Amino acid sequence: MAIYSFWIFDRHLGNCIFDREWTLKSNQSSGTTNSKLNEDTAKLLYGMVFSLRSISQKLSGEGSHNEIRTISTGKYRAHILCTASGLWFVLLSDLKQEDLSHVLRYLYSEIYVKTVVHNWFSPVDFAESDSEKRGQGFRKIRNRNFLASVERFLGPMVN
Amino acid sequence: MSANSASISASSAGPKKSLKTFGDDIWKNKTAKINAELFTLTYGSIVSQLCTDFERDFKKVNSQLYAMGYNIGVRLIEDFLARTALPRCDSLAQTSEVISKCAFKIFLNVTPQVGNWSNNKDAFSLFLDENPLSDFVELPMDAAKELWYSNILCGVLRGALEMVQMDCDVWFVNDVLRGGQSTEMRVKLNRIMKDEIPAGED
Amino acid sequence: MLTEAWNFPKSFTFLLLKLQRASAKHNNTNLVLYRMSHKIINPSTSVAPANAAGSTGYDYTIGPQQTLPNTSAQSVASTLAGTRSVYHESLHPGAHGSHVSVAAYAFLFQEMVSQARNASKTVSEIELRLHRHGYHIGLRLLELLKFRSSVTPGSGRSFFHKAGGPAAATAGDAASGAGNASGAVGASGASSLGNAQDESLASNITTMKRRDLRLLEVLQFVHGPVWRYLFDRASDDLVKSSERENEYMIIDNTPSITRFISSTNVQCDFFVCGIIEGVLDLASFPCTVTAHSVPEDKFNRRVVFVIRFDQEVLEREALRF
Repeated sequence: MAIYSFWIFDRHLGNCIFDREWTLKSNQSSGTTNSKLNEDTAKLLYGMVFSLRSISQKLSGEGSHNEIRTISTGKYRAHILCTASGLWFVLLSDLKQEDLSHVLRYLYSEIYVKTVVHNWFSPVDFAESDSEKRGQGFRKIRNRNFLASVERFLGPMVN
Repeated sequence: MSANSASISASSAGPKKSLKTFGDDIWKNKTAKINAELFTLTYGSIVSQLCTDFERDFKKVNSQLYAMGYNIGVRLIEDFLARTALPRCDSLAQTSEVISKCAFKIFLNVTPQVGNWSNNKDAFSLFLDENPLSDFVELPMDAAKELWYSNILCGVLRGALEMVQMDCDVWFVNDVLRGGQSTEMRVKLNRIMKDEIPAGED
Repeated sequence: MLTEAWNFPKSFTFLLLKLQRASAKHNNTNLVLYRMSHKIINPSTSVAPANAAGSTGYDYTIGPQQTLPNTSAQSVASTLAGTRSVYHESLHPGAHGSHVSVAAYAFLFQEMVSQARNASKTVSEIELRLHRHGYHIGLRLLELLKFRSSVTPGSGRSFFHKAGGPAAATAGDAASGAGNASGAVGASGASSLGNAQDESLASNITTMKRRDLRLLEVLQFVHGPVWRYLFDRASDDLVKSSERENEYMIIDNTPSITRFISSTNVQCDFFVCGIIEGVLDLASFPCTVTAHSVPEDKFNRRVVFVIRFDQEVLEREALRF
């Protein structure tokens, strides 16, 4: 079992509010990273999901829900959970993981909801002004409980 | 995911009955519960404190309750979606059913009646036969004309619906506490907001 | 019918006096009064419910009135005809929806904390505000819980199964002066649970429990019934301080209403302190209650509520026996 990275995009599509990559050695201690590299990866990943999602929805016709769940490539698989409120949870794993939707759902309902949504000291909208929307945002989830829970839950699955 | 697909297929089969079972099931089996009276008392203490803070200017109290509700709504929607895994609704009719049979049921264990649809189907009313916020409450005379005691609910709905891209106005039309025949909340859909589109796509 | 005199049950007037006293202490006016049912102690005449049904509220600025002001009375009375008044509601714990979700409560509670935070300049001010919120709840709990615990054992079970018969009769009796509103509901809804709403808890009580007079009794009451009412379980421990004579501690290993809050600098459990203090104060055990976070191995959110009784309590305690 191998999970490579975990990303959350907020409702201002393209704003990455959380990223955690386990394959980069230098980030192991910090938990989050703001490196330029990750920022670019986030944009690319977001773009890929966004495009495939629009296309698949168009193909399925008007009026029916058709959310994209996984995207497989030759080297990795992306697992995606899009909530009705516009949040995207994305996990990148190796090809052996057929379906991680239960993991994503747990991350959403047990970790994100409990440590971010129910925590009044943490914002739920990370864009503080209009200029920070549409992918221009830079604020991340910094909540200790959230970071610790993600680490505790996903850590054992990394390798 | 199973809940997700179940609810989708159910909604096409006949949303009324199945949404009710769906909501009841979540309430019964997947919801931690707390004494409703503590909830009632806590809310009462909040309203009473606001009335003191605003020197019994009930218009201000109404809007403050609404603002509090909004803050709650934008968060509550995530909790709701996480628990139900429901997709966005196709129609306002479906939304009204989800609000009454799932949302109110899961959070407050009541199921308001939906009714009073406007002619062009862009507004409906929720009739609260039971309201856990206002059990045992009687308004003082000066408040009975202006205060919407449960106004926090309007804010909650407004905030929650906005997060699923529905721009709605929500307000109280009537309240038994003010001597009305029923407690009626009105929800009017102004427009469905477009999801933001990333830079370069438009 | 509007010219009839207001008839308050004695117990209610008594409660009001206490609330006023409590309000004075906190320099705060009560807007919303949670009433005990009019059926607790029968009023001397049967017309009291009629007046109750004809008002929209107790005017806190004037107090009990002989007649309602003419202007509003007409319209109010006409709109209210046919609706149920708060006086007709049962105090039975099952009469209303008995539970709401913890999530709903957590959202409300956190918004309350955030309100307090916005309105305050210092941490202690926030805590004071939360304390005040709790205090007013505590005041109400003492009466309510004593009342409920007085229910004769055994009668509680039959409560929901009793169809028609005595239940409908009492409901009808009580409402006879109030027009047909609740009487009709009482009779028609006699089949199942609908009935529960109309039966007064008082009919299940033969003798009221006496008030707790000893310090330990009242502490046991907080540790047991109050905690069970609030959190569905007794508190984890009740300890007497070995250092100070007037100090007692109630320990909660897993405080339930503050579990979503991750802040460490504001002690949100002051809300619960307020509840405890309200209960004890109304029981005539004036005290100060503070909350302290004391984590232990398994319980990282463990809270100790320290109760310091006023000197007069100890003196009184020493006088008896």
